[in-house]
Amino acid sequence: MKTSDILYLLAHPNQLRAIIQWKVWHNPLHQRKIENESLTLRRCFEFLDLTSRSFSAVIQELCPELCVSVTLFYLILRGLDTIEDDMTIPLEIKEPLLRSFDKVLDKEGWTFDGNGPKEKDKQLLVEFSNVITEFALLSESHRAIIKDITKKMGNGMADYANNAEHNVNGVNTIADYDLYCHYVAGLVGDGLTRLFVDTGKANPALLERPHLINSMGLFLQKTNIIRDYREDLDDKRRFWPKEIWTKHIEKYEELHLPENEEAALNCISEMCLNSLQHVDECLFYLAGIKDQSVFNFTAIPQVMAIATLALVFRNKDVFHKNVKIPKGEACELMIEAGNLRSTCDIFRKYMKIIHKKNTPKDPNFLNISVTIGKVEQFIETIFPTAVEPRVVAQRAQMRATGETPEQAAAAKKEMMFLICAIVATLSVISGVMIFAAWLMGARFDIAFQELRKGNFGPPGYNPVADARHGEL
Amino acid sequence: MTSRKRQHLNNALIVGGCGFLGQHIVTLLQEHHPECDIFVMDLRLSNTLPGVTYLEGDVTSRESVDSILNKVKPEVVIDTVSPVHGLGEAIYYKVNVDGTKVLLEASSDAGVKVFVFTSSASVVFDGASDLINVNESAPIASPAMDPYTETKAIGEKMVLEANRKGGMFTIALRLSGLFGPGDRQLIPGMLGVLARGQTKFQIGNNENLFDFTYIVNAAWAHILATEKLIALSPHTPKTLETPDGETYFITNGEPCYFWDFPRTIWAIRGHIAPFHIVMPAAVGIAMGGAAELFAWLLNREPGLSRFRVRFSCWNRYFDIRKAKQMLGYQPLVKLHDGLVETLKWFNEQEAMEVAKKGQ
Repeated sequence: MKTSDILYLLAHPNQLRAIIQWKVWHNPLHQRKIENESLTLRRCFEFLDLTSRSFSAVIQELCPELCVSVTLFYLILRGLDTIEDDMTIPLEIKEPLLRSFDKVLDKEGWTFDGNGPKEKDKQLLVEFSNVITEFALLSESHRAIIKDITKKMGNGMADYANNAEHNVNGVNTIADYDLYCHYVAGLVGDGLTRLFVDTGKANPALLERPHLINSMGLFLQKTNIIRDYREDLDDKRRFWPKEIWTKHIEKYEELHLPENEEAALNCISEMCLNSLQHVDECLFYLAGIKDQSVFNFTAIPQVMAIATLALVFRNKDVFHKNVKIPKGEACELMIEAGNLRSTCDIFRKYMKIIHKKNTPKDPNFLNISVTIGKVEQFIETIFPTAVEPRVVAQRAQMRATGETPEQAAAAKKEMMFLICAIVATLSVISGVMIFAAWLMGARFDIAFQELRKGNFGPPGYNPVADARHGEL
Repeated sequence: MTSRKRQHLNNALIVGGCGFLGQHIVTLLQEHHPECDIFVMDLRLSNTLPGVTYLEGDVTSRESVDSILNKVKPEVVIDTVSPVHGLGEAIYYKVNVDGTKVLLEASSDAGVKVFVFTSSASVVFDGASDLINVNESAPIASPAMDPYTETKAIGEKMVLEANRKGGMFTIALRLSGLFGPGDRQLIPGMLGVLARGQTKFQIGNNENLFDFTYIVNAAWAHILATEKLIALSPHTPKTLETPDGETYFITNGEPCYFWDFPRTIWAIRGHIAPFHIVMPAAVGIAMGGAAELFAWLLNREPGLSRFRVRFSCWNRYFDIRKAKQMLGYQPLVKLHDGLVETLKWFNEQEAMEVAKKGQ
């Protein structure tokens, strides 16, 4: 751990506490029984740890019926991705391999050593026979689901690999963007949901709402695409839809320039708005999960995504480097996202951050406000705000006196203002009168001196003086 | 706008059709129901459109109403009558209660098939509590927030109780936060803040959601309600599935944070406050009270008031799923687009004013 990380955590004790709490006290819902596992299965879990640092733990906490299936599903898709990502593999080898990868799963002992040396997950494919061996041991229904998704994903990836336009210019329309995200992430959600339902861990009604499933994948994928702008650009890849960025700038690669800061912020804001439109469907989906470990598995990535979205929203750093939520915050989220209500509260918290950063300078200012409002309204639908006893008491008082406590308080304040106004008026009038008297020659100085001497009345009667007058 | 076969409408009488809401109902009817003969009844005729028959009449006079109903023989009556805010309690009662009663009874006697009543979302508002995602199951507020709302609630109750009496279907639509071309209250108030250079002030934390409704969507809801009730056979028994005899909240379906709405208006006008001074609600109310006192002393209308302060701090948004399911209601115009159209209209009005002075 770096010094800067240590200093950061010392300045954020809550997050430090969360990290300690997660590392020391966290009890997994389900734990693997490693002694019962075959060598090939153990190797598969090792690959899971290697290729998925952030979600490996959550997958391994899934209930026993799903843990192995989801692990293998993940590794198979990672294998597909490793082939698709590798620019050193010629297209004539890559395309048929992607399209037939579902059949590869039935080939005992199959491996692949055609990846370039820089491909970091290549070892998975070199030892892919482990995955195939374990895949054969899954139930028939799980195998069918995984093969179906693998075929669709492979075809989608092959289509994109062939798409010269996409590879040179990136994504054009928002519809293209949604379709791309569907292939790389939405399908994963589809497969996972079918696995959940097949094992009775999720409401089968979810399968009748494919848009909810799709939104789960798209929200995660879109958040990553927004966050990875700089990283992808450095790799000469573009995933932000042209339909969005051309509204704000002419050249995608110039978003980072200081003179384009305002345009860049408005652009990333519109990208975030596009992502936010999936949030209410994500929460709707989560309401359909029945098993605790499955809920954790599905909710944790979503809360990470909303936290990331709040971080990248109108954040110019996105155009210069990779921005990430701090580890401590990530641990806090993993601890807190244990049920639907707390997950909704987390979403609310981060949407408030987005709301605070929102500015009328942004052409989408009101649309962002409305989109967040829509999610708030959805949350109110499933967790209505309770009418507080204070409110009930207020209503009772209102019936009695025709006034609310607020109105009564306001009336008191009004009375205070009235008194102040009267006092001020009297003061002004008195001041004016005294000033006028002084102008007309009143000797206030003499009066003041006499008062100080204790003479409160006019001078007393002097008989002697009076007598003198008589003599004259 | 999906083109679909629309329910045929023979004719309709829009009571209060020269008003803010009524004129938009007339315009939309002309657009979506060219086959419909449109009649307008109002106390004073203004904003008249070609192709529409305008009749002067008084809803509080049974003779006046009967005369018009006999002449028009309307299939549909849409009652949008709404006295201007700021008038006394006696006028509210006379128009909203007595006037509605007269119109209901006369319409029923005249064989009108459908009666659509414009109500207000404020009927469930007690003037003290937040309205958070409230739906039609919320009770009528008692006591009411103010005399206007009280009379509106009484009118609505009469309308719903009259359903299917004498064969007439009735319905009530509760509207909230109306704005749009022809607006004389909401948008002018916010433009006034801009003119007075007060845009940097914010009362409350701006975490309260508010439902504003673009007037065209409110008018559209009236037409949908009309179509649904005309399509009803008199022999269909009343159930929870039939739309008649019910009340519906109608909004844009886009609640937004309160202060984001005026800030959008000011931004469209090219103004963005450089910073915001945030005042707690209690301070705002005290200032409102002081402003009211001085306005009273000077015999003027206060720019700031305790009600307006509270108004900007309340949550006030509604669940419109019932209107979506039963009436097929979907807002035609989005909130932001509605604002753009509204400000365009205000620009035109201001340009006309300038031209008039130039003459």
